[in-house]
Amino acid sequence: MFVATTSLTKRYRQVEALADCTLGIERGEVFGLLGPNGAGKTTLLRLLLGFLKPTSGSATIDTLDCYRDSLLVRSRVAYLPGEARMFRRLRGHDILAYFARLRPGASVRRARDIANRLGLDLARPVVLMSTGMRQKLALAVTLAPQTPLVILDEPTSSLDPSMRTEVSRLVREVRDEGRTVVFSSHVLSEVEAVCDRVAILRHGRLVHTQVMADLRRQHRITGDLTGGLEDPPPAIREQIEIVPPVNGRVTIDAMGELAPLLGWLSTLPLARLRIEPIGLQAVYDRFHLADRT
Amino acid sequence: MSWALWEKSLREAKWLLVGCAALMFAFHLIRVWVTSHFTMGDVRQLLEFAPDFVKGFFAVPPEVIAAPAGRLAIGYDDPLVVVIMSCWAIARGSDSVSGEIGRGTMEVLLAQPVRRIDVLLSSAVVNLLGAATLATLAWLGTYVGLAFFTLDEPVSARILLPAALNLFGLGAFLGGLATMLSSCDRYRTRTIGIVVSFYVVQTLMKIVGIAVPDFSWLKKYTFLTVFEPQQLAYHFWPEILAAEPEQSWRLLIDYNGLLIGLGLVAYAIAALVFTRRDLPAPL
Repeated sequence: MFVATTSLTKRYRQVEALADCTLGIERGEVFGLLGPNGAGKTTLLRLLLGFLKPTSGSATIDTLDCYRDSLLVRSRVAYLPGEARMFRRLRGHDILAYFARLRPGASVRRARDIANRLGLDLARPVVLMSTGMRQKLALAVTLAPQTPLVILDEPTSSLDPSMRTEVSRLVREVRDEGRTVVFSSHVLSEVEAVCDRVAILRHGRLVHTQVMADLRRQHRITGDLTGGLEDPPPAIREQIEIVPPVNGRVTIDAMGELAPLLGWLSTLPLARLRIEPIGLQAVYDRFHLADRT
Repeated sequence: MSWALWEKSLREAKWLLVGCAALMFAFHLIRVWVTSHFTMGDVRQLLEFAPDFVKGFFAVPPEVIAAPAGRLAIGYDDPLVVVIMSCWAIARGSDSVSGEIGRGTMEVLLAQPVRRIDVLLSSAVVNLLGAATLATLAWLGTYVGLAFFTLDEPVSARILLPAALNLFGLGAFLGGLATMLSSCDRYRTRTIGIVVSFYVVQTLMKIVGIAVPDFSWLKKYTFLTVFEPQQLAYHFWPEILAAEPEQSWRLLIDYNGLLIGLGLVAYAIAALVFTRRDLPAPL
């Protein structure tokens, strides 16, 4: 595994910010982190960068210990903090040049190209930039170096929809270069669009890991029952899960290919039939709906 | 260490340093000019009227204060000079860690492959160089003043070098202390508050220690006991230095060694703390 954590735990006095987190990320993967505020996403990222000392457990990147070998780890990682703040007195192009000097092999030209793609005015001093412009500047600083790992914490917060699409495109380009991306976001559609795998955190614990390719093959079928529901044929029984009807409305979760189910569905006494991809929201709600209600 | 880190520290300190340096130079230049308007007799007369308890606060005999060299040496202990040096040292020292954390720039800086010790070192060296620059400019102000204005008795600027060194010692100590507290903190305002409170308490300890004989032991526990520019300058008057060379040099080394040494120890503790502590998320 390129990134690996083993029983990684961070505790602040009585508060367990991250508990017993074990996960692995393959090289070249785009790995999403999901969870509400305080779920432990940022703590996990800060542990990976060696900003925090683990209370117990370990984290490695490219076999290097994230805390003990933090300097070497950071030479392999580009990190965009959740609220990236830059030196206010400098202009945009000075910021790009400054960070390029701090990282051997970094290219200012590449950073400028990214800033241009994001439509950023580099001549403006940081102090006169809006929050969105500062975020674009931070993105250019983070995505420019050709590090094997890119960690993005809320990369599209404060960006407009067209820029969000551009950021998703940039993330895919990073993956196409064979680099690994850890992508933390609250915007499920974005995570769904760019990630290969997603981890869901809840109260500091890793509660679920979802392979996105599997999720994309899952569908939810809903409809109003107009008669009795017959048992599915044995050939497709393993593939579906029927949720007991509520107020005459039945829900069937289907895994895998949809085509073999269609014949059976056509025989069911269902009105107002709807078939839709399950989507990340449904998976997310499975773990976090209880917290909201 | 990357030169970019040095540049950053210098750039951030530039305007504060320029302002403090201009004030320091101008103050000592003007002090020579003001001193040139009085004679030893005028000052001696003035000091005769001072109550005994006030005389207790003089670090040197009254006749030394009355002399032109003594009057110039007081300038290195003047509240304005102390405030300028303290402003520099506390402002820069407090900014080195808790200031950067509070602004969120430490986060982006340490996301790069730079060592924490290098970040601290670049800031510490700029702080110390700044304090040295201020002390040098204080002395240069006196030197230039002496070249332009005539006093009632010739004074060599050289005898004020120990006072300037003591002023640098004050900057080194306060800068180290502020950096040490900053390295444990995440709020710069709190860091400044603690350093200023400490300074006020230490000043009160010195005042009480001098004014109330029963509490003279307090002087042992305040760093301001070794911040005595007048006394150091007095010990380097040619006649005093010739009579007691060992004592003069011992005093210079003890006072400045203690201030600078304590400052360096504080910087070392700051490095130890900062390289081991968790880096909190910006507020």
